[in-house]
Amino acid sequence: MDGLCLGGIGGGENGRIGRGQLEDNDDDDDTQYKSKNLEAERRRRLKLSQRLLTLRSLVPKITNMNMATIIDDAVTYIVDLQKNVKALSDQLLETEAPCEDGPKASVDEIDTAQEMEANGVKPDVQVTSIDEHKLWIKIIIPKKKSRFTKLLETLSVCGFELTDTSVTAFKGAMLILSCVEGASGEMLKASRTKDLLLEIIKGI
Amino acid sequence: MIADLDTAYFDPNSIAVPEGPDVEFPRTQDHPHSYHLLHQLQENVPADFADYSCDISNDHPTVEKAIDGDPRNTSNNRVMPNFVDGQASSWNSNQPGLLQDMLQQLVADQAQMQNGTATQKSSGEVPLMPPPDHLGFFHLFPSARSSSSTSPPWPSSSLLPKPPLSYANPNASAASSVLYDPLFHLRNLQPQPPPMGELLYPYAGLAHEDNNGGEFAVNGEGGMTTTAAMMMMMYGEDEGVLEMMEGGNRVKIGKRRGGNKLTKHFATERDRRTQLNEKYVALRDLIPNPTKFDRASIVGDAIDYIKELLVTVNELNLLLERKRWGRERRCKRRRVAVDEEVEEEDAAVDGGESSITAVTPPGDPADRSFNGALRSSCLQRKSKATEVDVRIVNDEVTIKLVQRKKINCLLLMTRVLSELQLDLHHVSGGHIGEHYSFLLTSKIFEGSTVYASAIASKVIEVVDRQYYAAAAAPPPPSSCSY
Repeated sequence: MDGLCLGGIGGGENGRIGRGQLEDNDDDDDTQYKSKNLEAERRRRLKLSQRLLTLRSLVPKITNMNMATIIDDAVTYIVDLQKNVKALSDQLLETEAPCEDGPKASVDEIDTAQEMEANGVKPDVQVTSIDEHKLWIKIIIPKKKSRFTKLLETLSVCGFELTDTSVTAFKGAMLILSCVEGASGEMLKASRTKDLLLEIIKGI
Repeated sequence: MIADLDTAYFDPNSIAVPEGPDVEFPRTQDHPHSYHLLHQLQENVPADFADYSCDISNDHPTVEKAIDGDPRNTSNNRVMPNFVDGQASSWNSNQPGLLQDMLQQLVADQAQMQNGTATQKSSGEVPLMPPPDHLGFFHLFPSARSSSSTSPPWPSSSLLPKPPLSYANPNASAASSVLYDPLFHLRNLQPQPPPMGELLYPYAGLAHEDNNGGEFAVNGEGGMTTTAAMMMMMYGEDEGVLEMMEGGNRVKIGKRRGGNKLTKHFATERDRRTQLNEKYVALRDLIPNPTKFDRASIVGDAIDYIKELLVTVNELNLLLERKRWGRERRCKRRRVAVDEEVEEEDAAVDGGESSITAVTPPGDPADRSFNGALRSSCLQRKSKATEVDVRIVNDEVTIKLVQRKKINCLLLMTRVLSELQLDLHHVSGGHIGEHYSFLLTSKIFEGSTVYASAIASKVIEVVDRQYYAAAAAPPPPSSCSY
């Protein structure tokens, strides 16, 4: 099968060179492809054996050294590890400590707004249209927990989709620079979008 | 002195000019010496018995030739029985009779297929005797005369594959083989039908090892080499011939029997291969997202998965320790004080709190400095259309996502992050060529026990779900496992 495939490729290459040379090169190509095939096969086998060796090195329990046992041992080891992970994660979930994030979060929120003001960062919303279907928005808002998520959700509901986006957080503020497209390729108007955004930001 | 054909007494030393109405030796050959006579006979003999020995289905013409009007052949045929009768040795035993019967049968069968005259001729002949007691063979089989009547006269050295002649008379086992030893030898001198020759040659070598007189040496499994068996398998048509031979010893030639060793080989090899393939499949089933299904990539994926599992186990252990540690501390200080995520791999593995205390500064919950190793885990997961790279350093999580199809997954990602209680700090990415690629940096909320593989698997799961749904609206996010 490989030989057939390679022969096909060789035929294509010959076609490119020139039909006249096709027959002359046939024998050469055959031997060429045979040796290429041999080499490829050798490399393939080498690759497999190297990987098996690596696998073997990872698995602690070694019985015999032949291919079948390597794979068997690896299977048992993986199953073992999976059980381990499951047990540990269950344990973790059970003993989940009650988060003390509630009060802290609110503290953060207050902090961020204040921080913004303290640093002279002003909330801002800007919208410009790049072309008929794309808008470019810039939003600076105080950073709150999962605010960005809510913003995205609301925008998607309204039919907007953020494509190229960059979000950063600094000094308690969140800067959103994004290219916005209509979800269904509709035309967007800058002014209307801006009003919409302002509304949304107030809500979240 | 002269070979008296009627009395069938042959004196090897006599001038071999048989006289008599029945004998039609070529008069042109004035070779009184027995050697020449023998040579003649030698030459003629193989023709005869070659015909008989070959697969009848293939050799009609030759048989015809034998039976037809070749004077030499017929004369030889007539001579043969005389030779046999003349021998003072075991040829007086039943074997010649057997042989004769066999030959008669054979000839009769053949004759019926051939023209009538030839039939008459051959049927009218005295039962054909084989040339075994031919002078030329005497020196080859010295023990022939001395051997008992019941046992085949030919020693093991003459062991050759049972000639196919025996198919005509399955009961003529030893006799038939005996019959054919010299023939085979003779046949070697002349061009033979290639399949037969090639078939028989490998056995020739084997035959010498067995000491069953006259029996083909391929008894039991050990006698047949794989190559011989393979050759046998290759020349299927001739196997039928060989197969018909049955002997006292179970001759294991032929597809059904002689191929035993080879088919056993095939069978065990096949079994071995199927078992090996099953094991590969089992390995593949354990891996979460197998992409290719060839052996090398399965093993490669398995290696990555094992490494990932090891990392996850370590991480979980660490988290558990931290949690226990934090709870302890909370009990002491009533404050979540575990800010630093100290990872000491050995400590995590040991699971002993004492080792962790050795690392962290004791009794300093407010210390936010990094002590010892940081928690760091790195994980890559690939599925058909998505690649996820999750790196955790301390309390920062960096997720890189490359989505190969045009699905806007930003919204999904942010949803996932908020579910996992990750505080999004930084996002960048977008539509790059054919891919959607995003890099998200977030911080882990304190007290949340999220580990790398959980993040990775959740992300991939969510994104793939949407990809396969191929719906405009993203599916509802999976419920938080916390």
